[in-house]
Amino acid sequence: MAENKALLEFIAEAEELTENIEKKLLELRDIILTGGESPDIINSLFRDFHSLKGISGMFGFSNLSKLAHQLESFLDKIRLGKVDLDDNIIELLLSGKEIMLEIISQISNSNNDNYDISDFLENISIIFTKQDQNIPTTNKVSPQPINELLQVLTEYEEHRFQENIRKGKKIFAIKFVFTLEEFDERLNEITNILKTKGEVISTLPKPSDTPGKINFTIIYATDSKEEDIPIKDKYEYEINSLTEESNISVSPSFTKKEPIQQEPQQTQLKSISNTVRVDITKLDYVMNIVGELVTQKSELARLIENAKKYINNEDLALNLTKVTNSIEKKINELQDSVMSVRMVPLSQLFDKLERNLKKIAHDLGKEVKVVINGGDTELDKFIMEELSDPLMHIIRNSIDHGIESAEERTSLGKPPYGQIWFKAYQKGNYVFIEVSDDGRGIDVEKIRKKLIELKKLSPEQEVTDEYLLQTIFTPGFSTKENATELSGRGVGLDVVKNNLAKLRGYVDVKTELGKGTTFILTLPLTLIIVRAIILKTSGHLFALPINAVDEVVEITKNDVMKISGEEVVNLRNTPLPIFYLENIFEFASTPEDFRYMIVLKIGEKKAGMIVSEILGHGDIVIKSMGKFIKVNGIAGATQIGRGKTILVLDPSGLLGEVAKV
Amino acid sequence: MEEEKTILIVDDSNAMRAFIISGLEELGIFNFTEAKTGFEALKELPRKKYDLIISDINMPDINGLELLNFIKTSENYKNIPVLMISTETKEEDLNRALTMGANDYLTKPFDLKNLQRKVKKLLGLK
Repeated sequence: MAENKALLEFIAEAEELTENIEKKLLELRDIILTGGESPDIINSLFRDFHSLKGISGMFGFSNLSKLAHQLESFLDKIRLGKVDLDDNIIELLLSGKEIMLEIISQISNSNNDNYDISDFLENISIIFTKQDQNIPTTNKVSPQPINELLQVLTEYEEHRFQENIRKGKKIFAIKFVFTLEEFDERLNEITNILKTKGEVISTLPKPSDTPGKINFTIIYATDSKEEDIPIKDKYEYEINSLTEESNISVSPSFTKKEPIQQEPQQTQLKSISNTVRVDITKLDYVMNIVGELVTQKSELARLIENAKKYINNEDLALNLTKVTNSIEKKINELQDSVMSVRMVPLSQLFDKLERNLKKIAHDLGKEVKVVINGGDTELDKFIMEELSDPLMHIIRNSIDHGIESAEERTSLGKPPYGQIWFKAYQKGNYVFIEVSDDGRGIDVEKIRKKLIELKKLSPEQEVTDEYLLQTIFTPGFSTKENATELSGRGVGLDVVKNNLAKLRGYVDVKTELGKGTTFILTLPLTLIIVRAIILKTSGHLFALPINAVDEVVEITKNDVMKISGEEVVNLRNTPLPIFYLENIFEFASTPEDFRYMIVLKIGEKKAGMIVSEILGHGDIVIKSMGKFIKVNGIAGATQIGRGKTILVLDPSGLLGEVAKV
Repeated sequence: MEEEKTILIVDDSNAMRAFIISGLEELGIFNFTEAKTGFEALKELPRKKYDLIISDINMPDINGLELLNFIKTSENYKNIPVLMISTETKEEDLNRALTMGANDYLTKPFDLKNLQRKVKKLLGLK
């Protein structure tokens, strides 16, 4: 259905526009905070609101359209110099963006935009009227359009033209001749160079008498003199000053330069953007099929191996092997490429978080600076979507409990503003996300007291700091007496742990009293297809994702020792805690006889898992067991050859269970 | 049978182009070239013989007025009818478009019936 397709396009585009708006607003805020200005960003923001208004009106979403319209008018006044831009206005625009996002999600869910925007619109109109009274009317500067070229300018471009004259800038009309094939690339190059020393007000195309050629005139405002224009010596052009009296007369000073040697163009004729937006559920579907193929492939390989025994023809057997190998290779490639499509950079998430973080800090009257590292680290789109809640909890916690007030910080010799670092990096098949603050840190003694108070710990019991820190992730735990609206009430960090467990990830915390706290989130790169070891213990088969396996060691019962009541195996002179699946899932008593220890390692956590047999390895597709079956340590189920289903272990869950013991 | 019409649609919004196309398909027009920017439109122009150009005014790189000016001052293209699209708030820009030779205009939001009516007129369809 054509209209339905258009509606889907609408939702995707509306979302993209709002995301762009947010990004640009944040960028703009940073620029104005340092006293700069950016007509380019303001104009492109205007265009985004304008587009959003246009499309939502077309699709009959009148509330969204009304809202976008108000914000667009606001931006229009800003870009035309009728309203002064400051931090408060950016805040207002950001909250407008937030409402738009909610409306879009409502449209996507229920196809209507019945959303009460009256309060917000009223707020805007109050500021609007206030601002309107404040601004003195800018008097239009003569000279009025000197050149017939300028009649083609839009109202905005004309304003920029006037504004630059008012500021005493020189304005030039620079004329170029390009071929039809390469004009866009050349113009992009030239515009980028020109922007380093001024503003490109307009780019006007003009037909050329020579077939295959096209003329362009760039209207350029700058402080530079004609001879200092940064493209000088690099391109062939004709330049006219539109501001200097002597040059207004029609005697163009012709500046002929040899064009710089350019790389031969390869493909110039691409006309349509090569990006496609895809609904993630479609990718899931493709991924599922790839997953089935992976399972079938293993089964085929096994069948062929068996069949070979009955084939006397050597050539045929060899060819069968060749074909299976090549199918395997192709399926792997297919799997990799589908995977890569799902990967998105974490910067998308960090940008969102940064914005929320600043809002929370603002609401709490604290100032926080954010440093982002490794935003280009990629993660499966699905995992990233699920990460924003847990990360928000952590950030709230840091700002609310961690970062001290400006006075307290100053008295401690810290800078008055708090600092929060986001850091992301990939190691092997895991992505690590660290969120650090330079706040007061977590007082483990306070946790100990609290636990004793709650009768969860006896006063004489000796526990490690690490253990105490882990308890902040248990439900109902909070050391803060006055629960605040933001965090507190003991809700929060247990949610973080549960959310991460669902993603087969893990959260860890490090803290130094008075110096700050770091939360470290460990996540698998993807959840769908993984390489796994198939193992057997006490007669039960399990699959274990290989990405958490550090090594496999052959051991005997004699290698197991007890240190302060805990079973360990001495691995290269370091005692490693061990555990039995039998104990964790309580399906049998600890085996008398076993042969292997699989060393699991995620981040800093490490433990040995004792099993009796390792049967092999292969790619598995992990299927969820539905939302009603949740066992810590089990990631799901998978099919291995001939339709047999076995459970898939969850290494992070298992390591978590071990920490509890 | 009538000769098939070819239309160039210039708009940076995928949703807008999809919306316009859905309306034109109801008229039995199926030959479209889509351009997301003015630059793309400039490249597309010499490739086909267009019966109509529908262009938004507000676009990145070059805007719709600049594109319109190019079309209407070019010997090769000046006879192609151009339907400009803008919003009611930018009346000033629409006036400029009309003085520069735009053949008709639509202001957003418009309904498909209105679009169809104007397109039929510009293409000389019954």
